[in-house]
Amino acid sequence: MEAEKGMTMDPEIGRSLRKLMVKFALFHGLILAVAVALAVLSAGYFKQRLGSQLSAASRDAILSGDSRRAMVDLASSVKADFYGVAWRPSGASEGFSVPPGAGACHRLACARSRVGVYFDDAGSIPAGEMVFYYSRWAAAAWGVLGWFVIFALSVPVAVFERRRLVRDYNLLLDLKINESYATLAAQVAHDIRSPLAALGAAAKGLSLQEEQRTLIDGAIGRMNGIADDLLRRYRAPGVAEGPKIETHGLAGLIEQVIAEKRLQHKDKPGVKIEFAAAAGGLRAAVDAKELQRLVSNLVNNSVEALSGPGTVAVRLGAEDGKVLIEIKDDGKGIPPELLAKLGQKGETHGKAGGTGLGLYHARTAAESWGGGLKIESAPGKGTAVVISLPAAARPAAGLRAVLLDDDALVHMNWKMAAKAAGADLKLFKTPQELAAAAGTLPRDIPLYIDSELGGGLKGEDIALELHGKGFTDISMATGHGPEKFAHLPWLKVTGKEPPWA
Amino acid sequence: MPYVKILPPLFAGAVLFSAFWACGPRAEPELRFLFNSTAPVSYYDPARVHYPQDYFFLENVYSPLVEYSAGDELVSGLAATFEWSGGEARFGMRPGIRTVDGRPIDAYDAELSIKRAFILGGMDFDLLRGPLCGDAPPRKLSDPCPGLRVTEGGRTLVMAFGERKPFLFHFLTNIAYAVIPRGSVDPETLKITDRRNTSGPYYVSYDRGGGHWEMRANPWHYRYSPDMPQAARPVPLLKFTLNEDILKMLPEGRIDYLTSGLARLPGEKARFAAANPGYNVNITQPVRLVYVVFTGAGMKKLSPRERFFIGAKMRELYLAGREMCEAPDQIFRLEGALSKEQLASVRGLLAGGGDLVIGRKVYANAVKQYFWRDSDSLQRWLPRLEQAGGGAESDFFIDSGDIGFQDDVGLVSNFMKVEFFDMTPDEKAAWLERYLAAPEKKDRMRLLQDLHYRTLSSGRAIPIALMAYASVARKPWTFNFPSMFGGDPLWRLRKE
Repeated sequence: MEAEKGMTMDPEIGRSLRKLMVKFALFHGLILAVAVALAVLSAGYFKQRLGSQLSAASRDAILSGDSRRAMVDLASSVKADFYGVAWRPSGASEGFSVPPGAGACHRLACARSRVGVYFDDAGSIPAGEMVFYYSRWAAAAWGVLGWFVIFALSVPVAVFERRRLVRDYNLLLDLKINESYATLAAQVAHDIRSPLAALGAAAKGLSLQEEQRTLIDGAIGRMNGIADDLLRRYRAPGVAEGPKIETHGLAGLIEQVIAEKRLQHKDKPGVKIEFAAAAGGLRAAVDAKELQRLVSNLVNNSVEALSGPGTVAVRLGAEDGKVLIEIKDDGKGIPPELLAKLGQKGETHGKAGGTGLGLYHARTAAESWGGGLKIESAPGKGTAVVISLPAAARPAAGLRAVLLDDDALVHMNWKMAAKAAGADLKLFKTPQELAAAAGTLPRDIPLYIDSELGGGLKGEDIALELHGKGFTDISMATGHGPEKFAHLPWLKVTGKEPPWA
Repeated sequence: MPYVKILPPLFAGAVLFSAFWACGPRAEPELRFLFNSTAPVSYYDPARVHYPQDYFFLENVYSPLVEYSAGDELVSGLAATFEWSGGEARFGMRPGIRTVDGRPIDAYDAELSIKRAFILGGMDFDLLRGPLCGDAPPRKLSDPCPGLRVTEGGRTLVMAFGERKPFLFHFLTNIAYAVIPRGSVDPETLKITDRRNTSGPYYVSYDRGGGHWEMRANPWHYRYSPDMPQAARPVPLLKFTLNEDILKMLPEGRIDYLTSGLARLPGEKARFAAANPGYNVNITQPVRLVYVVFTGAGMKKLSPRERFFIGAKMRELYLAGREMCEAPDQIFRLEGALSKEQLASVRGLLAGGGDLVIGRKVYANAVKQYFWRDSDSLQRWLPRLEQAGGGAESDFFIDSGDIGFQDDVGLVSNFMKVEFFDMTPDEKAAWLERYLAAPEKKDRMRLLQDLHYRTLSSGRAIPIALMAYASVARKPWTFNFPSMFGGDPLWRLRKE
């Protein structure tokens, strides 16, 4: 009963509740009317039966000529059921009633049971009728009592239903809000792809240092990934897509984030962001985007913990079958009394406007991947956040694949992933390049083809052509759903991510 | 020639129809009932009703103005309506009712029947004769009876009393007040000369003498139904026969119906019907009272202790060997019942009090009839018991009667006819006059209670047993009889 706790009730739910109350009142009005009617009718029926029985018992005395005495005796013995009794001989305009004038009561207030008395046992020769008078509405009290019992039983049900209605309505409201957020997010994700593509294309025309180009391409790639992720999440409103947990080489993912963070914080004097990864291509089963978001947040936290110049050192290592990601700063540190609370929802430290969600999400994400999060800090010395994840086995050596994609950033991602995985990757930007090399490729090599190849070329057309040439393992590396390619049953559909990530 | 072709199929159809007709349900043969009288039908007269066979014949052949229904309610008889108008009882006769030969029955027939009864006399009739005819009772049918008249061209009979008599309609249900069509009565001798044109559901179709007569249903009668027995014939019982032998006559096919007046123990009939599924039995409420009455001579000869001893021994004997019998403490259990104190006193007297041998010669009537298998026992304590008659006055007699009357006046009147109450005829008449004059029933009940107690406490009459009336009918006949009366109205039987 949120509304009763002081919250403003939504006008819609208010209207619904009023309607419910009106229906409840109408329903009970109807029940009351039916109960009263039934009580009155059944009383009439039973009074009629009782009258018949009394008539049969008094019949002989009446017919023998002692009708007045019979009426007097009868009236006194049945006064609990009838307030008056009368005998009206057949053909007579008036009869004898006890008490006198018993029939004068208005018909709206009084009812009468009339029972014919016959001379013969076949009931064909009328001798007269006995009339029994009773209050028409006395029985209504039983109807009201019956209704009240039903009312008393139904009130708790009504209260419960009212609460349920408010709760359901609020849930529905939340769902609608979430749906509108989802729609908005999907729309933004969809619309942002075009400017990003334009930005990527423009960046290609710029004469930039290799490092800067890589940085820009990485940032655009991440933004595309976020957009893809949002689209994947909200493509079907109301059906939340679960996290995409796959085994990735972590060094590539983290390196991409570090490059972005360096660029982000390059204007902060004396702030250095270092990254060191142990050799061996450490891998773990994670949601790549979530991991990158997690590392990004933690690096930001560390940078903000530096009150002046300092170093944020990110290290990727392994220990006892676990992969460790350490984000360490030499900033102001965290007081011990707060240290234990960090990582819980809503707990933050030293960050203006912080919600405490960064660490909380980092911990829950790490835990959801089977790992954990540990914070070590000393005031004035710095803080180290260590994420431990179960280490995944390295993929078998000798992996090979072919990628046809016109996007250089995708090429770079796949190249780095292939390097980390030790895979043999051949990259082609145009179908013509791939066609030229096709003769040298084994027919069972996995082919990954982008769906949009620029210049109006459709990936599925190239896939069809290659399938015709005998290639058996062809996948569309695309953000589109598999339903789009359902007409090509031999064609597999994967995401943009490299298969070894 | 074409007609010749039609003949074979017509013949075949006729044969088939005959075959179906022959296989179909046949009309029930006449109902044969055992009857312990060889008297000619001319013997039976509503003005003279004493024995069960009298009631049997008259209740089937004549109808009264008012009757009791199968549900023991007062209903129309020959009078469709019966009501009081001030002090006048008015009976509106049923329209369209006729004798079998088509003679209409109207209020003039009812007037003649009642006046005839008044002329022939009797205690029942005297009760009404005085109030209706005054101090000059009619001697012949042409004599006036001012309180009795017919109006509306024969449609209504009026009995003018000074005041309402609530017992009257009940009283008139007695078959003694049956209506006899005036053409069937000799106006001079008042004898019933025609038992074909009767007012009842049956008429006598022949009487060949020796108890061989037949009655047939009158289709004009208001009780007529095609489902009732259309004809009934007595099988005369010519010699004393044991109850078990009487009951055997049913499976032997000699009779179809056993009246309540023969083999009278209800337990035996109930057992027979239970053992023979082809028969239905009708058992009334326990309304048959068997009692011993000590006459004036017996009251003088036998001391109270001896009278109560005889009564107690007879109760003991009767109840010992008979099923479905109760030991009554009083005679009138409903109207005129004893008070609690009176009942306690009477119970003490009925206990008898010790053994006794009455060595004096005692004369009695009807003892053998009721105790025919207990003579050895009787000999032990009443060794010199002899049948009354031949100049010897009876000291006591055994009798039985129907106490199921619906009204106290009828009941009292019935018992007044025998030496039941210790009163002379004049005392009886005076008591009855005082009784009828009591305006309130509760006053009458007080008088009856007092008389009842005096009769029992003086040892004038002692109740022996109370039991039901029972009749047996071969299926498919089923009973639709009142439960509070004995009798065998065959017109109430219906096919199952």
